[in-house]
Amino acid sequence: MTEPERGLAAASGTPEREGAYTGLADKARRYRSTLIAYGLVVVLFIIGSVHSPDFAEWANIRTLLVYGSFIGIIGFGQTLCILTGGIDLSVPWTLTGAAVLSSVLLKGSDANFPLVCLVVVGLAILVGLVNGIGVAYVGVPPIIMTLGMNGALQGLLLVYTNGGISSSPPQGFVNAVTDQILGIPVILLCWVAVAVIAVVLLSSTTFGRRLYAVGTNASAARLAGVRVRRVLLVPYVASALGASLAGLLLMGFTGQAFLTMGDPYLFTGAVAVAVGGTSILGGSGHYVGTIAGALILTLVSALLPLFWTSAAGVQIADGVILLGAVYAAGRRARQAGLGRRRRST
Amino acid sequence: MRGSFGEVHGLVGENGAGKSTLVKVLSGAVAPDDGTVVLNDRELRLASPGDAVAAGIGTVFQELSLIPDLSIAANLLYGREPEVRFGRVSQPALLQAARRALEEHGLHYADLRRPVRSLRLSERQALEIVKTLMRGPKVLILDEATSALLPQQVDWLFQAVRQFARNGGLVLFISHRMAEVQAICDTITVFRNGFDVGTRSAREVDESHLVEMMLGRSVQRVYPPRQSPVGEEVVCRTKDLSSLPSLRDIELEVRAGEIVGVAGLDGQGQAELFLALFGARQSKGEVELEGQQFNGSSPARALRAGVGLVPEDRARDGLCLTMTIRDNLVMSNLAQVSRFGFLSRSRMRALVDGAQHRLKIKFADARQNVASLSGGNQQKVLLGRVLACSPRLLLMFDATRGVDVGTKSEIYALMRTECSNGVGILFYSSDVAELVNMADRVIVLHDGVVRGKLQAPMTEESVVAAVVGAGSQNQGPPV
Amino acid sequence: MSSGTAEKAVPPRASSLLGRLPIPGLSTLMPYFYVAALTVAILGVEPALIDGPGAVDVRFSAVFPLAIVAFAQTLNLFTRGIDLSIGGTISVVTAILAVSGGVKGPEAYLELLAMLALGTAIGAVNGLIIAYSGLQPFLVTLATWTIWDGIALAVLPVEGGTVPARATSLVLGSIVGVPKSVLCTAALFVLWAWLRHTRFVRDLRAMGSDAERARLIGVHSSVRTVQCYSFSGACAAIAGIWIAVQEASGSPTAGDEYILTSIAAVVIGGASIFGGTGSAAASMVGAVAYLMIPDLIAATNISSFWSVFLQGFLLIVAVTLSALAIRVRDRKALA
Repeated sequence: MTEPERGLAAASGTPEREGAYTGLADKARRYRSTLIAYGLVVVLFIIGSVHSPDFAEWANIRTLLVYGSFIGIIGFGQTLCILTGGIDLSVPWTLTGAAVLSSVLLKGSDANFPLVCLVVVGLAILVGLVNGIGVAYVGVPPIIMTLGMNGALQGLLLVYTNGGISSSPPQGFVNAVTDQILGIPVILLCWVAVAVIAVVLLSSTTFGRRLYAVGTNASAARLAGVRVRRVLLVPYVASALGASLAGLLLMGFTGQAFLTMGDPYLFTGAVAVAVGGTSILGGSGHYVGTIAGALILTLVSALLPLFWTSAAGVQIADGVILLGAVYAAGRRARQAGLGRRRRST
Repeated sequence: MRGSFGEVHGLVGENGAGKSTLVKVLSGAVAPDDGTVVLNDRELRLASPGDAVAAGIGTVFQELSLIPDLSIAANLLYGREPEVRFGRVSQPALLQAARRALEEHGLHYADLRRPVRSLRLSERQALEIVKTLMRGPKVLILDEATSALLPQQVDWLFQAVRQFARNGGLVLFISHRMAEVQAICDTITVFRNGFDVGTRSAREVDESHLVEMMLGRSVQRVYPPRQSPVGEEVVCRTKDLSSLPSLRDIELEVRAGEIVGVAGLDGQGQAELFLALFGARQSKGEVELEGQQFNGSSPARALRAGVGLVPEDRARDGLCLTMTIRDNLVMSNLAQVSRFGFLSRSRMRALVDGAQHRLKIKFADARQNVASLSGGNQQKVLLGRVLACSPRLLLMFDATRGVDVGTKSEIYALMRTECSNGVGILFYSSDVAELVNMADRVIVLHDGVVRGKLQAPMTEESVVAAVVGAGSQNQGPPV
Repeated sequence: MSSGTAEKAVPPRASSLLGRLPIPGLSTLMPYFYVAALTVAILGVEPALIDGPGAVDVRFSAVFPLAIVAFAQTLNLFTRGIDLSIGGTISVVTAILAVSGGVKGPEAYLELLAMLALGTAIGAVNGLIIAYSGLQPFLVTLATWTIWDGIALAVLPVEGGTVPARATSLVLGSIVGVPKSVLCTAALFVLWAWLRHTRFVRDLRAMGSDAERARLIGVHSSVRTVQCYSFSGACAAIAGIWIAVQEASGSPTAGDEYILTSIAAVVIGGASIFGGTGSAAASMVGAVAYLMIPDLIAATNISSFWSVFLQGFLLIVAVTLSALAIRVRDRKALA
């Protein structure tokens, strides 16, 4: 309301249709793309099972879920960022940083693990806060801020390690990460924990409502008393923490920390979020969709090599599927769009 | 509806009566479901804005069609640039042609390379008008074209309009400012509920008759009377309140149970005043709320201090349209409807039920998207959200705009109820009748300063005179 | 229409003079300042760094491909879009050239033209998808980048190969003593001086500034989108040709690094990520600044890894200044 200029948005608020539906219909419409995403998960799984009987074995499912966990954990923070109309492109080097830093600090022994954990968490929060402050308080577009942060972290890590790592993670840690509790891999349990936190946060807390408000209409949220800038800090901190957790788990899973660990994860989280039905413009979507998105990406990576044996073929098919999934998710986002104006502050 | 060349034809009607839709059809922005548009005995097919322009219909849009980041010259001469070679526009020629065109119409701007974004709203509106006139249309449609113009610019526009009619063009003049319509128009057509209810010659008809046709009843809008006297206690007092560059040295006082109206042309600092009081805009000076100093640095603080704001544009600044009714209603009260940060469904339901009951909001299910409601009900949701915080000072910025008559009456009744509970209301309205009938006092803002004060009982003429008078006085020394 | 009642422009008040300055214009001046500062710093530390046309050629050979994709990316950003697929286009062009080392004589020229056509076609398809599906350019070009990188991988599974000799001789070397790399880069600046006032660029800026109003005044958004991304693809193809010749080989991931660096160059160049404002010349100067950082680090004796950090840091600094400038402008615009 900085100027009493009549906005095109003044044309909205059309009458009629009041008694025409119940809240349930709106809810179904809202979650339609998520349902489609889960449908896709089922379809892909069926394709895999048809192709080879081992596919539906618990051992294979377990492996797939573990692979999906990394995407899912990164997807949590990314979901929050994208819901507010932003994105976090500093995931690769935050992830790598957490793994490399802890590997170097631990020096192969379990002794200082809790302390090192604290250091990693502290640094993740720092990275997230810098991103968040840049986005929320200075007004830097998230793509740029997090991109710059990614580069800065890469540089710092290269300097710190002088271009190479020589130590591996301690065996105790590796064992703990690759272990299972009651038959369920620890990594998967971590994802489950993150998922529970995510779902509860978005659906049942006041913070969740504030987050959605900021993503839907930041200026209206502000005038309603939401502390928009404070709210915007959280997604980036969460994303940095998620990336760090993923980095530590990946280090345990592969048994090593290496400088190119994070490279595959630049856009993966965002793609999982988009494919899961969250609009990249912000304001609509949920982590429940991101779970489906992570599973879709994992299944696609698992299935493609069964049909195309060359790496090139897999990649091409990957891109085509991505395009298709984005198109399917995008159609729904445009149907729900209601001429909402985006403001840059 | 029939318009003749050489006449200035006014279109009046309440919000939602169909005037803007007619403009959209004539300008090619919207296709009609039925019926024909005939110009000079030729039936027109208006499938796009380009078609309308080609047919000789020039529209000055309410929302303005200027691109913020392009220069004044580029906007003015879009599509008609001089000297285009291989798709490239010669800048010196463009600037020269733009300057000449502006001067022909009596306008002068410095540096035509500036982006339009840097112009004030009144300058932009004037630019839009010249842009349309330049194309030499046969029919000129002015849709609320005077809303942001300063009084001397309105005179300029009227001269241009009369000249245009004298030269044989037809002007369709849409405005909710009755005084202007009667001043400039030869004929007036009234719209109501999407139909035209009659065309009269401007000389034969007076305002109350027009209003009667607009409303369909001969009674004036119902304004509920005051229920209790204005209290002694001062709810809000400001001293030297400034929010540069648009607001300077505002001193005002709102007592408990009092409605203070704010009048003035668009863009004279009203928005800045309301935002500053709500902590949504940086300001200097003293603000006291119920005796306590108030350092309003954010809306959240203002809400806690007991200030509530109903913003102007509910779609843009008020509601989160794609969220549910329930979410919108509880948005300012999240702490109260939760326990340790977790939402409590029962408390939320209580708040929703309370608001629905108090404001008589019509909806089937609180989990509907708020966008599915009518304009009036959306406004009630917005009010419900604001009132749920039990503010002591209620800032209402044009709260009845774009709302049907029935809802307006309910909002007036609500205001009286709040007053009798000791709430002080600061009320800005572009509708002078509302100010006259609801406010106890009216202050007139012009160019960011208070330039007039009126006490009830007031007449519409006296308020309009004060507003217009404020505009034509010499402006104070520049800041 | 007497001028007696005309509106006179508001006389400039002291406080609003700052508001009269084209603040976005300030943003696009910053990269020149960065380059100047970096030049002073580099020559201060290591005056002998530039020791003749050879050194100049080497540097401009690295500048040209980044400059041309930054040029194209600027136009994409004008429309509030972005083109991530330039990475894929560059990769596939270097890959095809690398497996066609056997192409003799003038047929090499035909091949180069074919590469240009390929790049333009890739871009056109991007543009068509974006224009007619309404999908976010970010997501669409992300997908097509993946696809074309995959095709590059199919054409050339491993880095290497040989590039046709005629192509090499066309691109490398000097004309009248001036390295071709310098001439080509200069040509880009000349191109921008001409292009910036075309209806094409004006329409792109209108689309990014206010898409709905642009349509209202008659901008053919779909056509312009296709043209914009086609141009982007063509520029990426040219960059790919250049890189293949410089490296004398191809790589299935040759283009990946250029995506984010092109965005960095555009941001350092002061263009707004929200569309409507910016300058391709400033973006290209931003590319120069970006590439000067490794030189600065090399001139000093600190670890070369600091250059990566500084590049990210420069990006953040540049965009922070730009964002602050926009806030100042918005505050003035309320006047």
